[in-house]
Amino acid sequence: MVAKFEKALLWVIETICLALLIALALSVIYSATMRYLGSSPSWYDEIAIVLLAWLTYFGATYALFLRQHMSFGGIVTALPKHAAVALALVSELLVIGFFAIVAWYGNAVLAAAKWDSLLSIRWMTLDIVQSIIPVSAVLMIIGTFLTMPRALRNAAAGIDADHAEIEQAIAEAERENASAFGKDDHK
Amino acid sequence: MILLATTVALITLILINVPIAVAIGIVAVGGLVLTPGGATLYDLAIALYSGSTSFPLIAIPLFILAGNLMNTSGISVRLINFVTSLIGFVRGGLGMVNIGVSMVFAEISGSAVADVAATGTVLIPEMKKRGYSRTLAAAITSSSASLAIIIPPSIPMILYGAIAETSVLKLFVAGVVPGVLGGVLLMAVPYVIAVRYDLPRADSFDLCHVWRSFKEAIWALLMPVIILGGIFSGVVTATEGAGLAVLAALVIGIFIYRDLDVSRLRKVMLEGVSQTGVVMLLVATSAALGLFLTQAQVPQQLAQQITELTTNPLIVLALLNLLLLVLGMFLHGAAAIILVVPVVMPLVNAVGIDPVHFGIMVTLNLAIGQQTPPVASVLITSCSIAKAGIWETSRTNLPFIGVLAFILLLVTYVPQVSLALTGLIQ
Repeated sequence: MVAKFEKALLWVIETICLALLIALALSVIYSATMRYLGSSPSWYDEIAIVLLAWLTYFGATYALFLRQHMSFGGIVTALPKHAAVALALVSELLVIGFFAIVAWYGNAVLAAAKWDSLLSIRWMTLDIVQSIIPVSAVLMIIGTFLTMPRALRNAAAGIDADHAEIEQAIAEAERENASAFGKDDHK
Repeated sequence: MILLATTVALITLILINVPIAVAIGIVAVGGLVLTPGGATLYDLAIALYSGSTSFPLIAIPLFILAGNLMNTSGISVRLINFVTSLIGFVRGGLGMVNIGVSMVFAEISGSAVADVAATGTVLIPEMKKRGYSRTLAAAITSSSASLAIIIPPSIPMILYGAIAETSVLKLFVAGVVPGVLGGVLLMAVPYVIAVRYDLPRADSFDLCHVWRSFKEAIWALLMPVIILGGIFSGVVTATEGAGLAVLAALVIGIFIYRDLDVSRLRKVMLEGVSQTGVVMLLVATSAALGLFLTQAQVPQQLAQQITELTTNPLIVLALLNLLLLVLGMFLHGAAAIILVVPVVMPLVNAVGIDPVHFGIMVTLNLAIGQQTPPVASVLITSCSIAKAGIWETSRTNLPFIGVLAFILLLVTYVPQVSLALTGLIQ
């Protein structure tokens, strides 16, 4: 049940991230093209920045679900099992506490933001734009809870996330290279 | 005192494995709560939003995406084949190929680990087959990948440009001479080692083979020409150049090399999203930390205290190099830039150091930092591929680090090395 919920939530976050990335890339390419055709879109600067902010926080949420944020696990993984798990738990609680503060104060400032709007899309008030802060903070709290059992298991087993990422990158590169070589061999 | 307390708190949080971006945020929260001043946690929430809305940073997700598309499209393999056909016949040629490919490939993908994995998994086994020791193969791959940081386009330079409010275009241009010089000098090291240990040549020179591999690699070679040519000539801005890079990588991957299908594209884009989220959350939380540090006047006090001791730029540059080198050993590149640059910029301005010049210094220090354990993801990746020990490889790596250190000293004390070309642009 929990695994299904995590999978569904991750799928939603992935889809939003992909939409934001495609929209950002298209807006930059469209704006550059239109600039050369002599009619730069007036909305470009403002919308591109909003897209970047949303991509930042949805992307950070996605990275948190995958536990890919930069960290230094060398000390924790070198500790005895119980100490490693205890420190990992403290770390998890600090992350949850930080995002709880961000969610609370991020939501509180929206009340003032709703009186202003984007210049290029007047109906888009700034509370909608800046709601990404509390929304993503809540999602990151949920993500931390959902992935915490894996993180604690890794801490108990002495697995360092950095090393796991390196091993994965190497395995993927070997697959890509094998595929490219395979294609070349067939030509 | 505040700087010391902030540093200790930050280091403690990082050591207990709190993600660095969150650790920065927690210190910002603590600082704002504990120190008197006008800013509050409401301002922190606003800073977290505004910190992610700097316009030059739009280039980051796009360059990351373009780099990942290049990694997946088999571009690295084709580049390796071409450069091998060109200089593989020279003694130590395979080592030179490794460095040459890194220079062309450059570090645009935001994940140095992915770049090293892409080139290292092809070249390291080949080097081992040709008599290179494991540690030498790993050291060459690792040092050349780090050099790529200072060859544009470069994510650390975009980050620095946004934080120091400096032209990204000028930083890109300023990186060209140190990057090329570093590449040439790095190539000399495997040559000297190959002559001393009588390592075999990779291939004999065959013009037909060069032509064949050139035809295969022409689109890969055109990528940097199109992107950098467009940016340097002023046809496109750095951000538009990033959009152009995505478009070019897509066209090459889908229609020319035909290595990209929908599922691969989705995977590559999601990797780019994750890498963007990692870097940009750091940028956003550091904006919140900046709010607290500025309120506490930390950067200004640091600048004042050091300028009371000395205003000699040469000494200040040496101190800054030392600070950056030590930090580079313990922090990932992006985190080091984001933490250090806002704090030291008032000092840099106070003693009259050109911010573009300082930007290249920062980037070079981080390149060296990637080679020095304990936090040295590029070195560790190379060692994993070569199945070599990290400390043994570090010893073999010393001449390569020496070259990078020489370039750093040259850039530090002869500003023209980095700044001469910037005079050519508006």
